[in-house]
Amino acid sequence: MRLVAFLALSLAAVGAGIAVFVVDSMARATVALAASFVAVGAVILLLDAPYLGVITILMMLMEMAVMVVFMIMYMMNPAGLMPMSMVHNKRGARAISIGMFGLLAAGVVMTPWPQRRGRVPADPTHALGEAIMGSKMLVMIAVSAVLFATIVSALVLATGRGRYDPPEPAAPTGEAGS
Amino acid sequence: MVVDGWLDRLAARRPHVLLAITPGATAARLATEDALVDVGAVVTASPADADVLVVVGYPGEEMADAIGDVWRQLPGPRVRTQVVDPAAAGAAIRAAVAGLSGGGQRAEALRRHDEWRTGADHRNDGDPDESPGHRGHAEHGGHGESMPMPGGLMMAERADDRDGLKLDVLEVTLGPVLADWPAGLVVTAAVQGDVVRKVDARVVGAESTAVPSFWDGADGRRRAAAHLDSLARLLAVVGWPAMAQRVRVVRDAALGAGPVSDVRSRLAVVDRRLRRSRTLRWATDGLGVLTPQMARRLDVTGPAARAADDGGDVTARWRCWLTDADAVLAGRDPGPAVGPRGRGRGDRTASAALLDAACRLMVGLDLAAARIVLASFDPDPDEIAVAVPRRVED
Amino acid sequence: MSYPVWTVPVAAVVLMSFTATAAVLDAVLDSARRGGGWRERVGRPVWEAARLLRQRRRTTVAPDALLWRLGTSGPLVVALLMAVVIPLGGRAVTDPVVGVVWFNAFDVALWLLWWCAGWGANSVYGLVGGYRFVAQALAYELPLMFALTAPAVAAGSLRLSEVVAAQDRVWFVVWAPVAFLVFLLAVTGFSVWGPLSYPAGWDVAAGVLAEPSGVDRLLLLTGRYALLAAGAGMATALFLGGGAGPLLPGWLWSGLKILAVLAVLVAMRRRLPILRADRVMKRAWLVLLPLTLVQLLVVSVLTYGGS
Repeated sequence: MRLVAFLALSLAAVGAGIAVFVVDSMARATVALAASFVAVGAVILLLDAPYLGVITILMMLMEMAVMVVFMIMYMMNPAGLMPMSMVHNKRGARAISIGMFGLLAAGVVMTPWPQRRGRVPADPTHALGEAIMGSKMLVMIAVSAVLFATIVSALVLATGRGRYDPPEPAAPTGEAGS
Repeated sequence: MVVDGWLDRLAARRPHVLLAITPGATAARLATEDALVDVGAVVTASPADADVLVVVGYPGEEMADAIGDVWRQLPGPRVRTQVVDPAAAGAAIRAAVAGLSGGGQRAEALRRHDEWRTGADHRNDGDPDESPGHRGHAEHGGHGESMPMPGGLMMAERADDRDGLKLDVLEVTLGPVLADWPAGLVVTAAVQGDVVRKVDARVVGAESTAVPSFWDGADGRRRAAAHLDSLARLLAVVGWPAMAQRVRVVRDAALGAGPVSDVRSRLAVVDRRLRRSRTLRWATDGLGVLTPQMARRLDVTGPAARAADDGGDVTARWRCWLTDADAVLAGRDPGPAVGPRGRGRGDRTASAALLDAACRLMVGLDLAAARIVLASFDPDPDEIAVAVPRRVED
Repeated sequence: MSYPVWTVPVAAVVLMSFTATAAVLDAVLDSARRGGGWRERVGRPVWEAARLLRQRRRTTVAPDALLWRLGTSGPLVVALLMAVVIPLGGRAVTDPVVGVVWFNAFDVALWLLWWCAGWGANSVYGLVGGYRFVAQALAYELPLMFALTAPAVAAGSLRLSEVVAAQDRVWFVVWAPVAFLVFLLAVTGFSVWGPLSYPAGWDVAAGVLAEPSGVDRLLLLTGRYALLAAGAGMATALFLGGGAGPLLPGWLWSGLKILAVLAVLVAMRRRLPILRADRVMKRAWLVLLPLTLVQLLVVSVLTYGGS
């Protein structure tokens, strides 16, 4: 049962991954990539790591959604469904991707995978947190809050004027030339 | 077939109606809105959601073309009707709703050959009207480097953005068939991302433009109703349909024959709700500021000019409508005016000046904010359409 | 505790009845212009559904049909997937150890789905609506995540049954009122409802709702109400003690609380104008987000301060 699910999900992940480069629209490529990641997340669920699996799905979906914001910046036609190739620099890309695949596949084959010791804990999420953070948990929590506050305040400082605020007449030099 | 008849009957209880309003047909519009309530119909914003298309007034040639475009976008079952005489509105609407069921619809569906069905039909380029909901393709006067896209649509072109980027420009045509929009107005906006960069506005005329505006005249109640009509439109555009509906009820009361005191007390309730709403102020504060100098330079008169002394933003304008509506109902005259929108100066009607001011202030705003600014000036296309005869009177 | 697999359709039926209730509530609360008591409005969802079943499924010129269908059917599917973890009277179809994150993951899936619903139609208004959703999501999602974290921290678990069980003495709405309100607001956000229906704004001819017709529209509108219902169910489990209450059985208490939250959500539509992203983005990041963080701190101190 697990094997069937694993095979189906990995096929879905690889298939959607190929679709990213085959389809002729940025929107479909984005959705295909999202689908691929969701399949990978579901594979992680099969490993009895529910937190990692669901969080992978969550983060990847959100990232793909943020990608559509970038899409409007890079699209030749923001509102259009103009067919366009999703592949550039074919030769280089092929070399890099084949090399990368070889490296990762070699890693999979050559790693001495450990045997399972013990049993699945009642709350794998808790166990995972303990394993990664250990005694540094409190520090990490504090640091994450500080990091987050830094990101927000940096954003606030960086954008003196929002997208919709009228341009400040006092400092017209603030605008970068094209 | 039994199921069909049953569905027909249920569906007919709440038909969705798209209004195509021509300039100069305000009386017919008000009668139509009233008639729609009687049959339980609801006004919708897009052709995809409409069962009935009601053309209000006599459209001119250009407007008729736009209405034809919109008509082709109704999914069907669909019925099209026209209301010219306010007294005949009720009968026309009832007949239209009745026409939604029955065998005629099936026959009509078989005859249809719409652009969206065949897919790749080429639209005529240079077609000036864009129906709502339809991709506003860029028009390419003189650029010539654009290539056609699937479906005969055109590719957007790029231009410098205010943030120093180079972004695509999309020409979006708003109107003339659009919900809560001045009748027959066509605004062509060049949009970059979400920001409006350039605005061109014109009024697509009605067949006959010789009638004076419905709202003009010395009748205080009618003038108050004009302000409330504008306010309802603004609230609908801001996205507060329930409140817009309440304001329309007060408007109808002002136009009705009931005692003035009753209208004023209803107005007072709405007035309090609106002035107290903090979220409404979030939506309108500081938006589209018309300074007193600018108002003078652009010949803006009436409530918009008075609001300019009081901050001049959208909030000031809707507050001024409320204040003025109550004042004229009470028999006071808040300021010299020919119509509710002011007097106009020289050969420019008040609404022409308002439209000009709105178009200037729409630039640089987000699309939603731009629409709110336009709605807060609410130029009356009836006045613009009769601009020529009025110049003779002045 | 979970029910067996055959309860999945039962959960779907339960969700759909709450969905229908939401639609009826909306019709009843509609301010009629004249005459027409609530009796004349209560059947409105049926009439609307009949209308859309009869209506032809219209497309546009050169749409991206695949993504469009994905977007119009997606919200309903997401609501159903959320519903399987929502406990009714202490038991849900399934009770994963990460129930709270499960809910969160699917509300994030809505980012792409609503965007696809707008994008796929190849129409200016739909496109604007789709992008408005993404902009709005950027404003409400982080506060929502922290609002979801508050009950999880208070209960010390991401499992919904444990979150409910941890409220046996005090409902979390008492400790985390800000998180509760932010959660409700975010539910209207991902349901494109009321004050956060900016992606379906009237000013852009109903935005994401501008182009779908017939069955597509029916699915999308049903999905919207279903999301509200799922959100109300989640709010009940996370903040209102789930099925806890005197005298009545647990499932009835859950149902009543869900109905009450649903009524509040539906009524919000008539109380407030739309909060546009260009005006509220700043408030979301500078006011709402720090508020939810402070709320989280308060909950953490209350929970672990004593120990």
